Amino acid sequence: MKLAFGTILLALTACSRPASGPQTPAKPSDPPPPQLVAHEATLTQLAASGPVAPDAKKLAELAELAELAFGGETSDRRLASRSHAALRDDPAARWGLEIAIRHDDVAIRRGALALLAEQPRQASWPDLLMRLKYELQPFARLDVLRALALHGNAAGLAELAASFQRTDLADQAGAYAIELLQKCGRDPGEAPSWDQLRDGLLALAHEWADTGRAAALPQPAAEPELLRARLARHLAALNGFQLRPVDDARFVLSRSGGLGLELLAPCVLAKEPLLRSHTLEICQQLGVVAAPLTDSVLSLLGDPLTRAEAVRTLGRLRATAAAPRIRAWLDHPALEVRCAAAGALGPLGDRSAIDMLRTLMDDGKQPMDLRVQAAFSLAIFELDRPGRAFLQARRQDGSYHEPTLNELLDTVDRWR
Amino acid sequence: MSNAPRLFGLFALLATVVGLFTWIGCGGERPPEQGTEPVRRFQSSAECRECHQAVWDEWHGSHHQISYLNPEVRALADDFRNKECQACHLPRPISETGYGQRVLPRQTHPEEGVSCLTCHQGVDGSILGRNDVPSAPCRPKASPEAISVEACASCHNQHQTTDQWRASHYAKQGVTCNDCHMPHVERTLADGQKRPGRAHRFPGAHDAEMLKKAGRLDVEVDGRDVLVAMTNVGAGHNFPTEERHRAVDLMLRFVQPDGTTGEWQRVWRFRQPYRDEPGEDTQLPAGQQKQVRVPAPAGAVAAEVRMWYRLTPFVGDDDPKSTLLDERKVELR
Repeated sequence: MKLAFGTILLALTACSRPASGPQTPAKPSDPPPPQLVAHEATLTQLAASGPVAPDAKKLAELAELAELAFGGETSDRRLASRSHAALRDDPAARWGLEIAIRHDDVAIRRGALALLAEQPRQASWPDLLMRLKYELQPFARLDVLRALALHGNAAGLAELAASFQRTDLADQAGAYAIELLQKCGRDPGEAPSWDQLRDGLLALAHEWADTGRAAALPQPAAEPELLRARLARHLAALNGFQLRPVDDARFVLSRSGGLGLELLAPCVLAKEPLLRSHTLEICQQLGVVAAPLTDSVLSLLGDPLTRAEAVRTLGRLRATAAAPRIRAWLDHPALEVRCAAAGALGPLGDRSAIDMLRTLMDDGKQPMDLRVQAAFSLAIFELDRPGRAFLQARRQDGSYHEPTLNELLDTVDRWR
Repeated sequence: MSNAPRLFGLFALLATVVGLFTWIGCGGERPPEQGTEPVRRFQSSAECRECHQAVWDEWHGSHHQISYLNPEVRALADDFRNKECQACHLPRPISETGYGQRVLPRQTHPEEGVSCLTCHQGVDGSILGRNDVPSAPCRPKASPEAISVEACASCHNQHQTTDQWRASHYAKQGVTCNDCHMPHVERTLADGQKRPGRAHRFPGAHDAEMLKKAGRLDVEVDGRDVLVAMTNVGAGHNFPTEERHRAVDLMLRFVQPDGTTGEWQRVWRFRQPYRDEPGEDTQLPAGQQKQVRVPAPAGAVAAEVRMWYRLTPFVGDDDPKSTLLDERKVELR
């Protein structure tokens, strides 16, 4: 009798056992794999399309004009002035100036940046952004920030505002700020304070970060075909082997506001894993500006290779519809996904997860990676100070990777 | 005898069979097919240590393990704010993106850098190795790719080291990365049996013995000239290779009749310059020699020559980032 009841009990309880044994914990069901489409060839094709640069002879002529116009003490003043006028009048000058902004001579770089800023064209963005990445000379850097803003790109305005802190740069940065604010119709008056200028620039920068455009900035001439070709050239590099071009592409696309979204959309669901993975990183940096790509990112939750990256991205896109799934994945069998979920819930703004995150952070049996990510999310929710304290304590006692903690704490500060 | 116990017995048997099938149908633990499904999805190198303590001990402290902690790397990567460095210094399994392809970065276990799983985890979570061992707890599957040059190329060809090897006579002879950087060792199994294995210390630019085998210094006198040469006799790729800050310097000073010596002068530097730095790539390909002729000043009676390896080009001889590889003294006629 007892044996029979025991056996019945076994049969009944069997159904309620988890799907796998204790070494592979039960996982919430993963969504179906997404439909992926090969996209690198299309990008390569797009990169080769659009208006063609002048021939090498013409480019050499323009480069020589730029050297004569901006070469400082080494060139004759009259000749410089005539060369400058010739460049200004030449409809093809931008092709030469976009090369001259990379010249070894800083005077030539600065002159070319100033002239380029006079005739803003949208397709100059990628070249200006690349200059922003590599320009080290502080004054030439300010020139890049100004040129970008006069091209309608506010990606550098926070840096311009931060330059007020440097005594050697403050005057030049302030003059550029006044010029920009005047051009925006936000004239700061005759004797503006540093705070007024800073607030004016940061208002534009915040609008840019939230919407991917700064409507008040001067709008450059639209060049959709050339811009598409140039951005596609960067995106095609994401699938290449060398990491430097990948980093260049990340830099340019993540600072192109909403203009890159049309090209990024098919890359999210590209069959090439490196292409979709790096595109997700770009989307994370774009933040809410990339929100129109949310549906595509959601479908990558079914892709084991980019699942964790997709979770992180949904957090930065503040895709609140994904919150229940991400909360459930705090128990996902893959640690990488659990960590991504814990780190995404804060940026996502899912306050209903606070208790779960707190439990994870305080549980000494959990992997430190997971506890740190939970603390990061809690730190994003300003009301829960222990999150920040946890990160700082780990940094102080050296129990976790310091650069990662620095980056997380920097992000928390920027978030506020 | 009543039929009741017999009926109960029959019912119990039926219930057992139904229960067993139901359990399996619900996804219960099936008897694993040996060598097919992974036992578990490993998450960390620490799990490998349970059985592979000796290998783990070699890897732990290696430049693979410290790749995301190393202060030298942290400084060069701007504390990893330079994101392009992260993929190879904290990589996910190579198998995920394919051998010879770039790797993707992970976000977990920063202390493990290039971990056991980077090389040994398959795309399905299984463990990969040299041989199929279905009886082992982690049930490794034989994977020629996981131990191939292509596996190393995923990171090390960022700086063309694998391409340099491909162009060398070592590639034609079938001498691979592992032959120098993962030499043969004998392993003792749990049951006391011995079997051949590979070391997991990965000696390279931080290993003086390895460096000393790479370049041969030759110094000759031709009239009043000193001929200084380095031959790449031991590296299967350029020497130096990889990072642009690695350098090999040939230094020379002359000795006067009273025994006093002049300043050390660099007569040649082998190095690939930074991208924005003027100059040519002077790394020395495998098997090749570079000779420099240095005229002796009047009165000099001897010359001293030293060959240094520098982890960065900005350090002097006294810096721990410099390794003296060889030195010679020649008398001048």
